Amino acid sequence: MTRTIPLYGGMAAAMLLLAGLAPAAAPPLEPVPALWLGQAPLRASELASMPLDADRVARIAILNAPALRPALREHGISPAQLAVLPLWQQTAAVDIGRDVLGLAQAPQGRTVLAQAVLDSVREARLAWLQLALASQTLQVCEQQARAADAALTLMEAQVQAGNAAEEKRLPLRQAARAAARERLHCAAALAKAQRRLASVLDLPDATTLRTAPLPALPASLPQADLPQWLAASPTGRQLQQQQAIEAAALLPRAASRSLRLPLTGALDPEGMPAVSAAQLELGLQQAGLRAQLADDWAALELAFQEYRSLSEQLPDAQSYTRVMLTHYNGMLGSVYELIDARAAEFALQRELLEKQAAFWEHAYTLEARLGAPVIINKEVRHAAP
Amino acid sequence: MQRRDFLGASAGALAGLGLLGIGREASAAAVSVANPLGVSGGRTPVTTLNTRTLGFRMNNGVKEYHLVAEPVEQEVAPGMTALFWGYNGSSPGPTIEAIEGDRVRIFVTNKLPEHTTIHWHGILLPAGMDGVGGLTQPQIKPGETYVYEFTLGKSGTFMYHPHADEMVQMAQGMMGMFIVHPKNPAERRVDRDYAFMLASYKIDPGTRRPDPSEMLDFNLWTFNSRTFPAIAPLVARTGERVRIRVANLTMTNHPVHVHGVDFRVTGTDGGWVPEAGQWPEVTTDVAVGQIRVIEFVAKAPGDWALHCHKSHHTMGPMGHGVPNMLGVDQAAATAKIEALLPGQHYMEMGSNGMADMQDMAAMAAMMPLPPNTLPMMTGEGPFGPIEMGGMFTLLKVRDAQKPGDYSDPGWYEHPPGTVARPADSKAFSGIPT
Ligand SMILES: [Cu+2]
Repeated sequence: MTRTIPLYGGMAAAMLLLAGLAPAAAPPLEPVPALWLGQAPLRASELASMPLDADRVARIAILNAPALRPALREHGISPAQLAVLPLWQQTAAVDIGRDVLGLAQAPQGRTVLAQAVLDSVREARLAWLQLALASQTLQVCEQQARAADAALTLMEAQVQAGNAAEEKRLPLRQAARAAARERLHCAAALAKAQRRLASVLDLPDATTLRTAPLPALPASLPQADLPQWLAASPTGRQLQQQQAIEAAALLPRAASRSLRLPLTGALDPEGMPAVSAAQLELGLQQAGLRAQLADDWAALELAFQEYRSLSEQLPDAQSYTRVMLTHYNGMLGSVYELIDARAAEFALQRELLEKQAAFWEHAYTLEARLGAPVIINKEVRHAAP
Repeated sequence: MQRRDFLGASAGALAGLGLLGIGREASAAAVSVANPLGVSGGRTPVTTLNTRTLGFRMNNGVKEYHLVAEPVEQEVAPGMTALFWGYNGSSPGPTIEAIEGDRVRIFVTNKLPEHTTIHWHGILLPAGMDGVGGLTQPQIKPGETYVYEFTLGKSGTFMYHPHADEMVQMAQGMMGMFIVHPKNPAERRVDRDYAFMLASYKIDPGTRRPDPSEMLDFNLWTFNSRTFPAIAPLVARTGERVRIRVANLTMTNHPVHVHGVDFRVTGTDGGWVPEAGQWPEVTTDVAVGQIRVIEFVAKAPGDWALHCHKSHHTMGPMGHGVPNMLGVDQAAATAKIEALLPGQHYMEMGSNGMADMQDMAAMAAMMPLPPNTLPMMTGEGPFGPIEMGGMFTLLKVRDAQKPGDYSDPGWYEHPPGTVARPADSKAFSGIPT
C-alpha cells in the first residue's frame, strides 16, 4: 500500500515537535497502523470526492471516523475489514440500524458498539448539515450584499447628479458595509463547516468538500410512537434487559410495617416492599430516555411546522417583489422599495434554510437514538463508488 | 333619452375606447355626449359632461324629481373603474334643470348603507329645506325617502350634495349640479351651455374605492369623476356663444384655463355677475365650494385645451413621490439591479425626464403595471401623446358644426401652413439668443 496516511491533529504534530524533527526529513508517522485501516481511508476519500449527502456521509463515518475507531477495536472490527464489505455497493440509502448493525437480532451486550456507530453517524451528518447550510446560505448572503450594493450604487449616482444628499447616502453606505461584513461571516462559516466535517471524517482536504443541497422535507410527518420507539431503541432495549435481570433477582415482598412521622425517625429497610437500587436507577434512566425522545420529537415537529409556515410565506414575498416592480414600472413606488422587497425575500430564504437544516438535525438525532430512520429521505439514490 | 339608454350608449362609447386602449387611434374624440334632455321655451339645455339631466313629471304645477342616493360602479377612464357613491346610477348624479319661479318637489331615496341628506348649495329656500342633517332636518336613514319642496326664486348655477357624514360622502363622489334657467328665455341666452364638477379622489394603485380619510394628497383629479381621455369634449360652432359652468367640490382650488378664447366670469353660485363687474380672463380660479360660470364667443376653429393649470392636476396617479432620477447616470446601478431580478424586466427610468412614461402603457405586456390604475399620461392626439391626463379635455370649435349638434367632429384639420413645424437651421441663424 502506497497511500500516505494523513497526520492526525494536534497530538501527531506535538509528537513531531517533541522529537525535534522537521516533517519533510522524517519518515511519516503512523499513529494508526495502515494495515488496521486498510482501504477504508481510500474508500472514504472516493466517497468524499462526490457531492456529499446524508447517506454518503454516514458511509464515510462508519469507514473512517476517528471517533468510532476505539469502539470498533473494542469489538474486534477493523476499518480494513469494513472497507471490503459488499454493503458499500448498495445504491439505495444504507439503513444503519438494519443493514449495518442488524439491531433487530443484535445479541445482548452489543449496545455500546451499536450506539457508538449511531453516534458517529449522527455527528458526521450534523457536521455535513452545517456544511450544506453554510454553502447555501453563502449564496443568499452574496445576494443580500449585492442588493445593498445596488441600492448604494444608485444612490451614489443620485448624489453625483445633485438629486440626493448625505442623509440618504450614509444610511445606504452603512447598510452596504454591514452586508459585506455579513458576507464575510457567511464565507467563514462555510470554511469552518468544511474544516469540521473534514476533521470528523478524517478527510485530508477540507476545501474540496462539495455537498448536495439540504434534503427536502417530507410532505407530512409520521405518527410519533414513543412507547414503541423506547422499546426498540438500543438503549431502551438494554435498559429493559437489565430491568428483567434485576426483577428476576428480587424476591417480591409486601410492606411489613406502617410508617410513622417524622420520616427522619424511620430506618427499617426490612419493613418496606422489596426494590433494588439498580431498579430505581434503571427507572430513572428510562424516564430520562423517554423525556429525551419526546423533546427530540417536539423539536422536529416545531422545525417542520416553522419550515412549512416559512415556505408558504416565501411565495408571498416573491409576489410582493413582483407587485413592487409593477409599482416601480408605473413610477408609483421607489426603486429602493423594489430592492428592499427583494432583500426581504433573501432574508426569508435564509430563515427557511436554517429551519430546513434544523429539521434534519432533529431527524438524524432521533435516528441515532432509535437506531432507525424516523424520516425517510427519498432523494438519496445514487450509485456507490 | 332614458337613463338606461344613455348609460347603454355611454358604456358602449367607453368600451370602444377601452378596446382601442392605448393604441394609436385612441383619443378623446371617441367619447361623445348626446344632446341632453331639452328644456322648454327655446332655452338652451345644459350639457353636463359624461352625465345627463334628470327627468321630472308635472304634478298640479309642481315639478317632481326623484334622486336616489346609491353605490355606483363607474369607469374613471379606460383601464380603471371605481366604486363610488352617487345618485341615480352615476357620480356626479344627473343635473337638475328647472326654470326660475318653478315650484319643485324633490324626493330623495336613500339606498346607501348609512344615513344621508341633500343640501341645495346656493339656492335660497326655507331653512327646513336646507338639508343639513341634525341642524335643519333628521337624517334620511337607509331605505327611507324624504321629500324636499321649495320655489326657485332666482336663476343661476347651484349644486346639490350631502350634509351628512361630511368626510365620507363627498369623498365617495356624492354631488350633482342644479341649474335654474332665467324665466325670460332671452335673458343671458347662449348657444351652448356646458357644466361639470371638479372632483378629486384618492384611489390607491390596485384598489377601486376612494379613500375618505385623505384630506390633501389625492391622486385622481377629475371632471365629473372622469379623467382625460374619458372626459367628453366640449364642441361649438365658430361664432357661437358658449357658457361653461364649473363647480368645485374638491379640497383645493383649481385655476381653470381655456385655450383659444378669452372669457368673462358671468356668474357664481351667488348669482349672475353684472356686465360692469366682468373683465377678460383666460384662467379663472375656482375655489373650494365655489362655482364659476364663464362665457365666451368661440371665435377661432380648432381643438383647444381646457384644463386645470396646476400641472400635477393634469396627470394620472403615476410618477409622484418617487426618487428624482433626472440627470442621474443609472447605468452601473441598473446592471446590478437587473442581476437582482432574474427573469424580470427592469428598466431604468427618469434620467432624461418622464416623457418616456408615455410609452409605459404601450409596454405594459413586458413591464406590467398595477391593476386598475391609470398611467401617468394617457392622452393620444393626432401628433402623438398629449402627455396629460386628469383635469383635461378639449374645446372643439368648428366652422361646420351644426347648431345643436353635439357630436364629436374628430380631430381638427389645420389649414395648410398653420401648424408649427421643424425649422431649417439657415432660417434662424444670426438671430440673437
Ligand atoms: Cu386643479
